[in-house]
Amino acid sequence: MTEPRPTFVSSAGRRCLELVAFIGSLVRFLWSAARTLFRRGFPYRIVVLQVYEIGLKSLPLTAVAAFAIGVVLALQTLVMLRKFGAIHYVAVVVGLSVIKELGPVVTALMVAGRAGSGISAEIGSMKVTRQIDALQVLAVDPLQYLVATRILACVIAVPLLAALSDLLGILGGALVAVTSGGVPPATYYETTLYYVTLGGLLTGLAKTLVFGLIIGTTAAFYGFATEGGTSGVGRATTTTVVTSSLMIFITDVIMTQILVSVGF
Amino acid sequence: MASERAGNARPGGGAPGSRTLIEYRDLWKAFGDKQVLCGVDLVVNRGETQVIMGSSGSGKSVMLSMLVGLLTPDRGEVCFDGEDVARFASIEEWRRVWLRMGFLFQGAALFDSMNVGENVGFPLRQHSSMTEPQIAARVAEVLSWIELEGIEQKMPSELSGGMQKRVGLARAIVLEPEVVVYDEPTTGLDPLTSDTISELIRRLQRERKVTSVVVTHDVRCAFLVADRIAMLDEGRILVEGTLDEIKNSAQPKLRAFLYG
Repeated sequence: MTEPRPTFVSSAGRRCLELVAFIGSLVRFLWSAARTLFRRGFPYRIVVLQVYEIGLKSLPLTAVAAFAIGVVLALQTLVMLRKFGAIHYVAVVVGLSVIKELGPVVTALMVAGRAGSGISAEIGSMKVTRQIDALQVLAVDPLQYLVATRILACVIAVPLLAALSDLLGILGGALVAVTSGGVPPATYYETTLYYVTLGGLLTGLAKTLVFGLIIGTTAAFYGFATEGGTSGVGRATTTTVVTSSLMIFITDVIMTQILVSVGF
Repeated sequence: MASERAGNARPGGGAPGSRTLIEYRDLWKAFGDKQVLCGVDLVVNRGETQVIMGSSGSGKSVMLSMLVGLLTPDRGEVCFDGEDVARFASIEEWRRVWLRMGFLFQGAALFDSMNVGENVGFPLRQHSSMTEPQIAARVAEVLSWIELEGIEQKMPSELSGGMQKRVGLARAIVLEPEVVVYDEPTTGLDPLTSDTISELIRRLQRERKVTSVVVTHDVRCAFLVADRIAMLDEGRILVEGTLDEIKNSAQPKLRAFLYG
């Protein structure tokens, strides 16, 4: 007897169940790693090394991306604002867009692509060559040594990178506004300070804490789940980047909705 | 005389202080539909080298993995010094066992982001209060013991397969464990290098009195290192006995495995 052809509803239902199961596995994995933070002998030295690996080595990429976004945003909005005779408002558009959305999201996407894939590949190759088993039989908890350290490093590094991206994005906008738009530097500076509040800056950076958590957890999760040799490592890496990027977008929508509804 | 049976439990029970250090009791394990172990019983005595032989896929490495907690049995007990490790629920319980054991993996499993010195010194950094100069001295001492002096700065990728295995052994014994477990120690090595590894295993047992469990399908290695040999076949121990008993056994499957 042949199985009935799946309907749209049954397929959608199955996908929803798979999504719930995946989120459940991810949360359970994160919880297992988080519990090791309070166990004795936590290797903070590894966290510092990972902040360097994830943060400092991602800096050139995130810096160029943020600066370019500030420049492009100013170039695009200047055209429109000039029509209304409001070119000094370019500082508002660039400032608010960068600190609330583009700085945090673009930085997180860059880190997911560069460092997230790196974490996944590193842990994945350790898994397939049994280096994770070796850690375990050497009485070193891989969840503490490999996973918790990297997740914590992502949570520290992504906000730091995003703060720098905010600054560089605003500077990129300022460069265009001053050189192409003829906005006096002092006006740009004062308008930015007036509209870009500490609250706005902090809510943008608060998102990056969650993005860092998503990147670190997803990368370590897929690294740990790697099977099937080197091709498995490749699959884990690709899945990490795709999944964490999607989760960053979805989380951004949810968090923005919450922040807007509470007045930020 | 080699015992031919489905199980060979000897008295002792693996209790602390008894002659038995490791004991597998009625061990069962399946992966999906494939039943790999079907009621294995095996005893390993303190200070002896127990070889477990069998064809590829017979479940030899599964037995080792259960001893160190990388796999759990579906049924049965794995006793280490009187404690059933298969029932351990916390990492703290396992830590006590892991710190008394060294494990040499089939592919050595050296940390490829660390050089040889860091690999061998890793257990000392994690589990001892030794200073860096003391760690460096201990690493040099162990590397000298495996006859690979002065390679601390080399990366694992710069080493041959045999050298990787020896460095893996150095890492496994740097904390001076009571038990060293070897998973296919000579697989993929040329005969001369295989003999070097076998000689190291023998020396370790002779000079440091460690208990060893060696999983291999390399008959030459088994004959060089074993005090006792167990032959695993179709998920059960087919034959178990001393080296001489095994060599002289008339069991047809065993003879076919050993002598072709």
